[in-house]
Amino acid sequence: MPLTDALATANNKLAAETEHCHQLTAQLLDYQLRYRLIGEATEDAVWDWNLRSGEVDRNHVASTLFGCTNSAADRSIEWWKDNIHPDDRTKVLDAFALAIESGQKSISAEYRFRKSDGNFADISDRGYFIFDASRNAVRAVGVMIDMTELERTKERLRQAEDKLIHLSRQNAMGTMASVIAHELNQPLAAIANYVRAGRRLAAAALSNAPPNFDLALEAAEQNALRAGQVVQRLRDLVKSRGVDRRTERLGALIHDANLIALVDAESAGVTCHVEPGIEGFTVTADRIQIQQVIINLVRNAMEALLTTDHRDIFISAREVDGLVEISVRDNGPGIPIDRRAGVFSDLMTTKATGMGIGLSICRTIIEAHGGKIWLADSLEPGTDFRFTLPAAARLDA
Amino acid sequence: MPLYSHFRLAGEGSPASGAVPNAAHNAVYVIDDHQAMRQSLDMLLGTLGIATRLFASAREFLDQLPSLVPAPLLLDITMPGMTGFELLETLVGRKITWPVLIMTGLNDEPLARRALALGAMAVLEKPFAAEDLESALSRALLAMTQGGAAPRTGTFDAAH
Repeated sequence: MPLTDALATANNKLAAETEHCHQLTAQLLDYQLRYRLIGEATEDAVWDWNLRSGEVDRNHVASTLFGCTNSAADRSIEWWKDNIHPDDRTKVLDAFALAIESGQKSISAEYRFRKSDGNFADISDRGYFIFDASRNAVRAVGVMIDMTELERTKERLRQAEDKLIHLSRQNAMGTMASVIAHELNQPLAAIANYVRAGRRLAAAALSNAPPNFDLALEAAEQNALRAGQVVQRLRDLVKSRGVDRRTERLGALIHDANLIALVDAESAGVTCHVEPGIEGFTVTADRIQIQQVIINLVRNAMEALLTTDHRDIFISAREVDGLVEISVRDNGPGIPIDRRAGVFSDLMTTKATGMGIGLSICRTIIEAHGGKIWLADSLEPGTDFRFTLPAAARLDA
Repeated sequence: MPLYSHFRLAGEGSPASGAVPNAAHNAVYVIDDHQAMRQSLDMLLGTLGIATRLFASAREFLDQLPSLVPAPLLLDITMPGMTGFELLETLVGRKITWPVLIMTGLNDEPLARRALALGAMAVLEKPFAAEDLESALSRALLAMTQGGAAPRTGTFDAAH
């Protein structure tokens, strides 16, 4: 029965091939699943680019992250080119073109890429090229990895490091300031004592002292005491301590801060005008922290005034809705429009010179007090920094 | 000079009743490791007619204590070896209640409070105004004439 035999053989062959087909289908499904799972697990956008057709096959991550659809337009390589950040596009496309032309096997590029929400993600892209026998690139596969969170974490880490450096430097400064304060206060105390003794001895012995003799010695005595105050306040500012919020007189706060901030104002030709009305305000605040903020603002103002002829700083206060609003204004050149938005986020804590703690720390301090700090829009030239603090009861003194 | 007058009163005439016998009227013990502080205080208090005895360390003062008559102490806190604070504790331990005025080169409020709690009469922050020193000293000298005991509660005279 050759026919039945032939049929049986064909049947067996078909069964075997069907079985093989089933196996292949199962294998294919398994590969597809694995491909998908890899995408799920890594959250990386896998791409497979056919360089001849210009078509790109992408896994589902591209649709969740970047809103890539299955349309012909989105499956084109042009979709990718269009969504690279305009500032990065030329650089990235040039790098890919060069890699293809020079027969490079792999490529890596970092660029910003538009997400479905319109924001840009920091992308790290790694690709691998496949060439045909005549060394033409025909296919490329790769992954786009979203580094945004990682970059943000790195940035936070960097900021934390900067703060740590600042704090450890401040700690060392605190120790040194204590030693210096102690050692300077001894001779200053001795000077004050000697001068007072001298004044008394002169008053008793000289019936005919030259005019201004005692005035000169009195001034010397007062200045020794003032120098002691400066040293003491400086030490208060830098010694390590916890936060201590109390009712504080704004006038005294500003006076003590200015002892430090304006220490070289006379030689810098800067005059600081403190509105007398400030004396009446009281705030709930950590004295030292707020002094650091004031010192920072006044020092910034002094730096800004270096380029101008008339160098004035104005400090004033007013009460607004249970808050005391303090203004530190200078008549310097002002901050350029394009730099205004970033002044509080600029990390200036590692600034090598100056006694400022940096505006970003100023903001942290003020916000921790339940206040706000901002750069006021002013019609007059110059810079006008303002901040608010919770008002304590107003004193009639 | 009106400023001197109350100091002179403390030393002149007959002591108030109940005064400590053998108390050194108008004398002060200065204990400070800084030579310029000792010398300048000696000159300054000299203009007020107040005699000083100078000690360069707490140890030196303790060594001579048995031969000393009661008088107020002008005591520096931060000194090498025994600190002024330790000397104050030692005096309290020995029930010696002569008035003690603390001098400190560091504005340290907790330390000042501890010194006052131990019976110090005042805390003076270096450099201090002559007026602050003199008003504290006049109270100390007055306390000597009125029985020699320092009040248990003092004041923190540091200028703020």
